[in-house]
Amino acid sequence: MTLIVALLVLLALLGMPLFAVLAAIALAAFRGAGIDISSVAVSMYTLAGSPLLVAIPLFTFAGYLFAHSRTPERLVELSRAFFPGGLAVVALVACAVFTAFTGASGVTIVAMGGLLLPALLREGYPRRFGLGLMTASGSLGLLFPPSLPMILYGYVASVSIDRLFLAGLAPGVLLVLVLSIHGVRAGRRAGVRAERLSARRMLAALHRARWEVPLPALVLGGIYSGWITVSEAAALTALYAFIAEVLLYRDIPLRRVPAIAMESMTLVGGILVILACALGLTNYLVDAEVPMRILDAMQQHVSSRLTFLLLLNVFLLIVGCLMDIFSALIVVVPLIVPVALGYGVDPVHLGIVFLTNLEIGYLTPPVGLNLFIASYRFREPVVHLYAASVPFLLLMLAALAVITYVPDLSLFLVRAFGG
Amino acid sequence: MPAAVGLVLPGLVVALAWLRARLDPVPRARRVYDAASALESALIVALLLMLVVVGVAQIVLRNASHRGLVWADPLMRHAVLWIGALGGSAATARMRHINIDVFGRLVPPRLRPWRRALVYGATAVTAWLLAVASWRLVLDERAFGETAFAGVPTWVTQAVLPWAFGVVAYRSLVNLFLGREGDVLGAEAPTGADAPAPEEETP
Repeated sequence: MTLIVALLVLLALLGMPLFAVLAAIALAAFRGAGIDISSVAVSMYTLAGSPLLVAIPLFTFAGYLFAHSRTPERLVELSRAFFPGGLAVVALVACAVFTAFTGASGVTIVAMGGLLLPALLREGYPRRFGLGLMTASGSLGLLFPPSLPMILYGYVASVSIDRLFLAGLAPGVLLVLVLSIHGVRAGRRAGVRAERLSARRMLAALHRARWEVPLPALVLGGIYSGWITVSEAAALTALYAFIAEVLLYRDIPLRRVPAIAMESMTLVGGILVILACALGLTNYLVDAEVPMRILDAMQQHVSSRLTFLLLLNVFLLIVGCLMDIFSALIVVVPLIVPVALGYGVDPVHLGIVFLTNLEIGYLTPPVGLNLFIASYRFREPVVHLYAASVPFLLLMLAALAVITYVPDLSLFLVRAFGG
Repeated sequence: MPAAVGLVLPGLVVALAWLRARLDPVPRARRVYDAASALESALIVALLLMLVVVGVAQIVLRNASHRGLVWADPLMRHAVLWIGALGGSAATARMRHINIDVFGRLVPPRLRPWRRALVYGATAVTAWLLAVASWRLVLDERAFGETAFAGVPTWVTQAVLPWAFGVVAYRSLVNLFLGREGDVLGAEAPTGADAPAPEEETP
């Protein structure tokens, strides 16, 4: 068994699709335990058991529609009109909103980067700063609803989505704030003129984005007020995105929609197949009480919750560096949640720590994924991006420390509103 | 499953994949498999469309008449299973599966064919075993005779699993025989999104 797992890990590192790696380990484990392999298929079928998962294809489709339309442009213009403090702050806010609705930071870098980087350079920000900012900014939106990784964490860890959505707000704002301060300072140093707020510009930007502005209010208001469930909100967002981008703005011709739908469903298929295969494996591992054994082993060496969280941070940064956020959540969460509960960590707070870590892992050299996406998008050598993103990485690590060691930052809103 | 079928069927899949790879440049053959994959895409897009329509209809009905459709929720949940399975098999065709691939990029060109044979071959075998596992599930469920929703038997909804994993096995072999390599970023999907209209690459 150990030999098989070692072989499969090697194959994974050579590029074997993750779903196949997980499935092969699960098949071998069940076979080794003398259980019929159809148990793996039984776990896969539980994919059809959760109304929460319905949100994944719907939000992803909506996100792809936004990414293929001129939404990024309108969003940037809107943020420029309303947020003083220079384009760096604008970029951070716009990227955070965009990532929250599209779900993955790769999309943000690709869709917003082509727009924001040239604009930042034109305003006089140093190229290195601009590159670092764009590479980092994909990370910011994941803590804001209705981010997909959050929904996925809620599903895998069986934590209420509404509470997670509340818990992410303050830590998300903290991350945006920390990077914004850095952005304002960098702008001053580079002698960038601050833009003046103008009522006319605000109105013009609002008018251009008139079909998109109501969406966040509708979705978030609907979810928080309990009017609609998360999966219904996802259906509403998909329909809304279609009407706005295809019928009203006409950014996307109708005949392009099936291709965009297919592109998004290919990603969804990739994620769900991993989830299906991982469900088989984690069912086996939980039956074999593996998380409990990890906990026992750890408690012999690690006694305090703080040390546990520190180790967790290091571990998750490495994971975030190697895996994309969806697979990382699917694979790691079921193993860690029972251990974290053993140390008295609140699962809602744990979710926020998880997401923040994994996103920072995206920026961590040598193999953080955002670095490669940015390198591909901006045609810069990856090594330049390592250097450019270091200041952002350090700031985010500082914010991560606060998020990790001050659970109340995540939990005070949950206590106040979520009960 | 009788032992003979257990051997003949995989052999058939390998032969079919080999034939598909051999006929790849032939236009008439290409039309056949393009039509097949268009059919698959149409089914996936139709399922997505149904999710949107039924999901929004639920909101309207629940608020208008204070009761939604009873079968809407299980229908949507099963549509996700189908989208996942069929989307996963489409991801194999497009080389868009998520992988870790730390060493893959470092393999020298001389050894790439070996890497492909190893990785795609192992994927095909695993996918085939998953197809067999879910085929057994479908047979068990059929004997059991439960209903998923609105009169649709559970085994029918599960039948997508052996189909999709069979196709994944077949397509992994096709990729192997065609010698296809993933793009630079492997399967990380979001990079596929083309950037929106106006662009200024150079400041």
